[in-house]
Amino acid sequence: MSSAAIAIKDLVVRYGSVTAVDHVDLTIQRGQTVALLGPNGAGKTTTVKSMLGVLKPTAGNVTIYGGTPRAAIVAGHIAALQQDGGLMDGVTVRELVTFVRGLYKKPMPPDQIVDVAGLAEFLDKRANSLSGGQTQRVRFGLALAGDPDILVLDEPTAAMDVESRRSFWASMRSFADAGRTVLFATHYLEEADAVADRVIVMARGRVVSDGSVTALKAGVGARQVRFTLGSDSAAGLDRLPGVVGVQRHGAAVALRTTDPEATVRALLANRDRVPDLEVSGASLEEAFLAVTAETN
Amino acid sequence: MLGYLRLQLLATARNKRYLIFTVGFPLILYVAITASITGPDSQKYAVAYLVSMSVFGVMGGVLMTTGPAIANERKSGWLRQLRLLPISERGVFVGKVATAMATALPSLIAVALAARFFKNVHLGAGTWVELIAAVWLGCLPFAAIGVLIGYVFDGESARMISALLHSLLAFLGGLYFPVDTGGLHRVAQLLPSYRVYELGNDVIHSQTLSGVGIAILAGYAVVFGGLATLRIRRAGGLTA
Repeated sequence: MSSAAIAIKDLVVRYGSVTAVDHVDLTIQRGQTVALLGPNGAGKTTTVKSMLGVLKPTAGNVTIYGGTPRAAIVAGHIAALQQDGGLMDGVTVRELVTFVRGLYKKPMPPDQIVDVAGLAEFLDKRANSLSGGQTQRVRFGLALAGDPDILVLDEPTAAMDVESRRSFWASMRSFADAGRTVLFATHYLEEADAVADRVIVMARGRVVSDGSVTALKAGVGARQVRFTLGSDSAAGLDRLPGVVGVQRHGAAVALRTTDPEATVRALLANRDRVPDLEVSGASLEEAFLAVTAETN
Repeated sequence: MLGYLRLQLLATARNKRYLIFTVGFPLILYVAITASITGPDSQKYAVAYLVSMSVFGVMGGVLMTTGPAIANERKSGWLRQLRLLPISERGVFVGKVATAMATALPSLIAVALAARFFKNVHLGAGTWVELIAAVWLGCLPFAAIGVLIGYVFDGESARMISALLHSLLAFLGGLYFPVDTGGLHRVAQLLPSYRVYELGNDVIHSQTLSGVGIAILAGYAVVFGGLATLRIRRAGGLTA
């Protein structure tokens, strides 16, 4: 028996003539916290929907613990959190939690749901009177109700302010620390950087990068050499040894290089002054842009 | 399933606008219409409007708790949320119909009580029960129609179409005034509202229930229930 929490085999999803997901293979092991990154239209949401069985793939299949997604939902193995949307009208948060717990054979104890999702302050309020951040907490609580081993989140913090976002990820980390599997789609790179131990990058329906955050950053090879150019022309900088990209930010210039040492030597040899010189690893954002652009 | 029904009933019971319109309105209409009719036939009208206003109330209650509510929940995303929980689409469908039927009962009972205690309509205990059961079950097709409206139309249009359909079916079905002759009668005979009304009258006058009427009501329930199911399934994969 395979230990994979989620196995996606050769998944293809087409909407008419548009291919949203183009032959994706992924295996998510138990206990991993995985970020699914990608620009809009990369196929993240479609992949997540296929994972939850709410969308029928054109080809390929998804299994959760070896069974169908629907069976895993019914058994309470997997639960999901969507990015937004309202809750039911006319009932309190407590009533909603009670209802959803009642759908499962082995639900999470109510106190634990309230505690992990942070619902205590508005438990007896009407569910449709809450703020965006509070609503998302309730939805998180409802996702916890079946005591799932796997949680799938589709841009869970899209409707939240900074503070709610921070406390949301703190709750999520305590959930993941208990050995559970978390997969979340996001376009906030810092969330992936802070929370995930594996980052899958999608672009145009394909997986273009898959590994740890460090590996993703290192994989694009490039490091960054930055200095103040002032009013000088940037012409010729792209011919320096190791340089694969030149980007000007006002008075500053950033060179992406595969050999920072050679680049810096050449810079110092060619120029009288290299003010504010700085060598750094590529940021996740640069790495992300690099891998999503490669396949253009 | 029962949990879902319970949750829905809680929400409906707290909806004051619903209570005023669907329970209060048929009751007020019944009292007002029957109070305005005097003379030797007034008792006959008290009985006739007992049936028609019962149908009017249940039909309205059922249409207004299905279509507009479902359209709202589709828009808010709550129905999408339900699809990620261990409750089947059929469970949601049955839950919606059951809620609509259950929440339509108070208006039926209110009109019956007004007839009994305000207009002194005397029926045998068995006839009261049969009347209530016939009108109540006869309104099942409206629940199927309502669910379909909720899945086909959005927000405000779902509400307007439900309200319009309610008035139209009440008018053409002879609930405001009898349509026993002419072209209107021919149209009425095809309508579920008329057929429920007929069912109620048959019960009150101890006549054999019309087989054609029951078949037409069952037909509406099956056809619209089927269309609603198809629509729910189709909405399944692609919404949002």
